[in-house]
Amino acid sequence: MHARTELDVGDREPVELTEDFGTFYARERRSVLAFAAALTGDWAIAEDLSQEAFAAAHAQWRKLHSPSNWIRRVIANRSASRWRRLGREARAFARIGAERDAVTLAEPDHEFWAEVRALPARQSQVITLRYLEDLSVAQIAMLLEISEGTVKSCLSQGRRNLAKTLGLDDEEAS
Amino acid sequence: MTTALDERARHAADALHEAARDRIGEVASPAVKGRRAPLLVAIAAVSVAFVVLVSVAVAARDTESDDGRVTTPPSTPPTNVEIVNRWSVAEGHTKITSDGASVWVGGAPTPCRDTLDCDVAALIQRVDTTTGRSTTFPVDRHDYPVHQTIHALLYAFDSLWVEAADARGNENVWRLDPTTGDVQASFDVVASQMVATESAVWGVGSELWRIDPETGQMRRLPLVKIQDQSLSGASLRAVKGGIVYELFGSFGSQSTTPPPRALVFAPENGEPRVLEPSTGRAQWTTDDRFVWRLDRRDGLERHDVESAAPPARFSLEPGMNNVERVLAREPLVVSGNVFFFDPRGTVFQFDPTNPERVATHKLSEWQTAQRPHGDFVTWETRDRGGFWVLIDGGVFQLSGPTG
Repeated sequence: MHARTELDVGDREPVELTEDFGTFYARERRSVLAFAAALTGDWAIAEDLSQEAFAAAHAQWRKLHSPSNWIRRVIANRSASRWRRLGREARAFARIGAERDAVTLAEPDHEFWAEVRALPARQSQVITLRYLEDLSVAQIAMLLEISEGTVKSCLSQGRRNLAKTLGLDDEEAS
Repeated sequence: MTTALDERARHAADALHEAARDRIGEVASPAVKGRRAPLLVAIAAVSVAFVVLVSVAVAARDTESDDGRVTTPPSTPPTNVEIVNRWSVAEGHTKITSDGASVWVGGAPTPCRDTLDCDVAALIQRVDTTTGRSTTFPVDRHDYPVHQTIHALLYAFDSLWVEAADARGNENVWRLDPTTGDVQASFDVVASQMVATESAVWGVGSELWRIDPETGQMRRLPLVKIQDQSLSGASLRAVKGGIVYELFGSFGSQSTTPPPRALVFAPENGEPRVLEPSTGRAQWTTDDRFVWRLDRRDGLERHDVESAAPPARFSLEPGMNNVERVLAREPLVVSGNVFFFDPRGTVFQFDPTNPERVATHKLSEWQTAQRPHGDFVTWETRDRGGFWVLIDGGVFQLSGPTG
């Protein structure tokens, strides 16, 4: 049921896949959650975003040509607006003494993602897709529906910013 | 060919993937299942869920019979919901409230011929459900054009509480004599919804406020709003023992909803706290003991607000899998039973003590090709209860279960 054909990520030829939503969900659930967590820094919000995105994907399952791309694009877009609200939410939660469900990793990984989130939204998305999802420039461009030039620019600037804030060398080691 | 940054990034990526893996494992644990259940858990584990569902229901029934409160299992199957009475009211009314003997409706557009020459305030129509007699009175009169719109209507403390706005942007709450419509008091506050506790009338609009009906003292209260682009407004739902359960998140017709957060507001300490955030796909309401959670996929959950027990879960009737098409988006709780309506006049009735006992009732009088709009209010007497439904220019009195 709900069998469909999926176009694979990237510039390769479309791959014929017969996949139902349940299989897609099981396969993508963890990485989508990680992607949302990287962008938001909050597990509860990441779960909400993932849930909403999967629900939306399910609602239009037959229409989606590349659900893997589509769901990440949805999360990238929604996290940008959600993230802007987090400051207000954080202050509100602080007032009522509630704790947010922040993504906490051991250092230095925690610091890395915190700095990624501090980047401009598009740079943050590109860097996250590059490192977390291990996607190529072409794949990122297709996923975010932007040009490869924009991806390269964001990647370059993002890496430069990250290297600076993290105090790391971004020169290639031999 | 890698840089120090690349190395660091890859390590951080692995750590985040691992954390997500752990997180998903956490999601599956019973303690947080109700809050973080994934979208397709029900699909993947239907058979397990059925066994759990039945056992939880049995446990819930036992618990309730021990303390003897509120939702004693009915000894007979749910009675059919029937239309007991029907009255015609003016077209366009959207709000209804009741004291058990009368119903008041309001919200119809002000009947003015000329927008510049209209001094008629919003009208409220009262129907005496015993005699069927109908009277109409205005919310208030002004010496300038008003075009009032009623946003909220509530019967409480022997008075009618009306929130109305006029074309100048003046928004007030009026306290009216419920029979004559005489203005007893007015308050400079805004509300999209109002509820009554044992000792106060509460409203929420751009702020949360509380009016003491004895003294007439109005108090504005700090309110935490979880803003969301698709959130059309905060909502206030119910009350228990002087505590107002503040439920955020209204539910539009979109397939995805903003994450509602259930906040509990304790008037005695003046500060709200988070009761439980949801996963953003459920609807909430409360009665006098339970917080109900309607999940689009997983059915109903019932949280006892006075215990930390895991929520009881009930299955949805198969025909109810598309919640967007259910007219009563928040379940009506009458005599311990839970009701939903669909737009074509089907009433879905759940017995919380027996999740397998789901009854559907067809009210042919409601059949309509259009999605109707309206409002609902419940009524209870000592031995039975029901609800009034305002819909398409008519007020229906529906019988509830006899219990």
